[in-house]
Amino acid sequence: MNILFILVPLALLLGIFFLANFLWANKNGQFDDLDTPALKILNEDERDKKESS
Amino acid sequence: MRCSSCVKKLEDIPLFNSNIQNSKVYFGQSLMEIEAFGSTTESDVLSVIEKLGFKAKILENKIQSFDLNKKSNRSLLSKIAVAGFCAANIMLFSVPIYAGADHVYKIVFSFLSFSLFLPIVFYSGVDFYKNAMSSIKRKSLSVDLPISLALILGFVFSSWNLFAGHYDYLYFDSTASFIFLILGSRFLLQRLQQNFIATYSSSDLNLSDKVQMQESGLVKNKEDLREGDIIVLFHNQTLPVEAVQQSDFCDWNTSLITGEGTPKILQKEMPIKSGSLLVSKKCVLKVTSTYHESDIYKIHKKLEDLKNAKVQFVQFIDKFSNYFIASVFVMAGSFFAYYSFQNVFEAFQRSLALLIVACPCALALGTPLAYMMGVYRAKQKGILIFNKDIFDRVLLVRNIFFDKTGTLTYGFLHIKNISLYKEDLVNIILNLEKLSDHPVALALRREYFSIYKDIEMSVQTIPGLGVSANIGSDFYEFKRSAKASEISSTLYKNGASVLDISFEDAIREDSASVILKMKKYFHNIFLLSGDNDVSSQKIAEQCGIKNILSMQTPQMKLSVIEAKQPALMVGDGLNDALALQAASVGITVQGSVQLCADSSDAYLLKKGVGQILVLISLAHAVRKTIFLNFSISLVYNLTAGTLALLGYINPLTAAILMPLSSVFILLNTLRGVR
Repeated sequence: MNILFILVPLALLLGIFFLANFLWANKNGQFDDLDTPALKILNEDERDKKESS
Repeated sequence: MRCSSCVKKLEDIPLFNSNIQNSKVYFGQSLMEIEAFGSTTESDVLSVIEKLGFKAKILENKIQSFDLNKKSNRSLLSKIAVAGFCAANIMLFSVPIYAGADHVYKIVFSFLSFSLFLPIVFYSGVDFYKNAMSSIKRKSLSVDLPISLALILGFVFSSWNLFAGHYDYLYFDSTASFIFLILGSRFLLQRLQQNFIATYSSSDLNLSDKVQMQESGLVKNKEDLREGDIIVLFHNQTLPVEAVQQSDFCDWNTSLITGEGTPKILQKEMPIKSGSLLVSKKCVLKVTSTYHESDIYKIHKKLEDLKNAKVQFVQFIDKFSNYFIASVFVMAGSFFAYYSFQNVFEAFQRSLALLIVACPCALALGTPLAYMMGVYRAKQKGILIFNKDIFDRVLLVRNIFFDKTGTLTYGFLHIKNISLYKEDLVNIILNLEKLSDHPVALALRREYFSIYKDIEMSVQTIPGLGVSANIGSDFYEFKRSAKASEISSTLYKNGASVLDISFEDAIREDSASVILKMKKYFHNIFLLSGDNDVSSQKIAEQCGIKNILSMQTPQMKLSVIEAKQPALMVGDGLNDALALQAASVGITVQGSVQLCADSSDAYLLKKGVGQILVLISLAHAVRKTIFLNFSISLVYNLTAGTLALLGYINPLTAAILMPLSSVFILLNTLRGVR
């Protein structure tokens, strides 16, 4: 059972890593608007259009 | 904005317009954020957007609140994330403790739980403390008070037990999951509120901001107009000041101010009220007041005052929840006082268990969620809600007031009677009126557009009276004669009358049946109209309304409403705006003027007044759900509370029961409000 003393902190660290990532993304406005980006993906970028033509 | 290509169009503005630096669309809120370079004005930006085919409005003071929303959304989301992470891990560590882990693991896991609980107490829960503090300062009870108390006491007590070595009495898990659930429901609520409670803040009077001067041809702002100025108004412009007409005959639509449906023909030297809409092509006027002295400005001003002075409505549910919170406190307190003579430690422990178990989930979760579900469902059913209190208020209403023009009636003219129907004659009339958008012409076109055939002729306007033209060798005139109650027009052929048509503003098909159904809910139904007695009486009869108040000015409407509270006012015009603002519930119908919608609590997206019945049944559903939530949690709290006081509830049972009751209430709310 001593393995728990390694695994538990490891699991916690992993969790904290993801939590920190989430907080970072949130701070940068990643979740401000959940509706618009879903629609944007349907359109080609202006830049890509020019390159292809 | 409807689809992805709209979003793209709007966000691509900076690509082709060098004045605009950045453009960002918020689809859910129908908002757009634009950054422009120094010299660009707001109207420049608006005109760019309009060119793309969109209607935009500047949110005067909403810019700040929008930024604030963004900030508080982010901070709440961070708090939820931290609380969720900590709560989930505490739960994981609690399982082996309950399952009977070895002593060493028990100690380790308990201390881990403790350290994971710290962020919840010192970060996630901060808002609860703030709200609780402010509610203490206001000397009122709020849900945040027991929540904070449960959180802090749970933390202090569990920590104390931990350091004293009583590992069986830790409440970290149940308290943590409780806080996470509450935070989650708050966030949901906040998002719903921002997306579904419609926000309008523009005070758009639809007045003509700029007016042309007669002599110089210069354009002046409405605020700069002075007494004695001679101005020219063009078709579809609204007079922003009081004035006297200088042209011979002109058609005016005064429905904005008086609620009268039919346009009026006014002559030279007659005074014209501010807010009147010019139907004729052009009119010369002499200004008799500044904008700030005009009636329209006074109404606008009064409206602002009413808005600021709106009495805070004490909701029934608020009162109820205060009792609820108070009784939980009293129960916990008196038990502690009683039992502490026997065993202080046990007494404290059991009262705390009660506080945590009995923490009013129904209040913190169920009630606001029921309101928001109501708002959401209302939007699905075609009712925009501006104020969620409406669900409570609409059930208190005893008197209901209807405006006439545009609310019970269509707000435009229909053909009532035609003395002689001959297709060629009607076609001549249609041709005579083809360039006009006088309500009479609109009514004719709506009715007879199918038989229209073009005839070559040059139409002459008879100012204020009608039109005339030569067709072949015959001379035709089509003249209006407006009487008090109805408007009628006559076709003359070479001076002899051949055909009469009378028009009226007909009531909507559903008005009468809706009002019949409403008699079940409301004691008194009134017709509150600015129109003359005769036409008000007629409409009232057709709708089955017995109480008629006609010839009402906006101020009179206001005082009627104030005398008959709690009242529900249904209207559409600017002349109703004051009454709508003052009434307990103000509802505007589809096609209302913007300012009017601003001062109401709800806006019906479908034509007619039938949606009000939907709103009432929705309000009943919301209230029923809230009561059911209360009953569920009351039964739950009483049982669990008694068990806690008797000492049967250990932390494990509390941890299971707490989320269970929350989930149950959540499901009930989603099911109940339909």
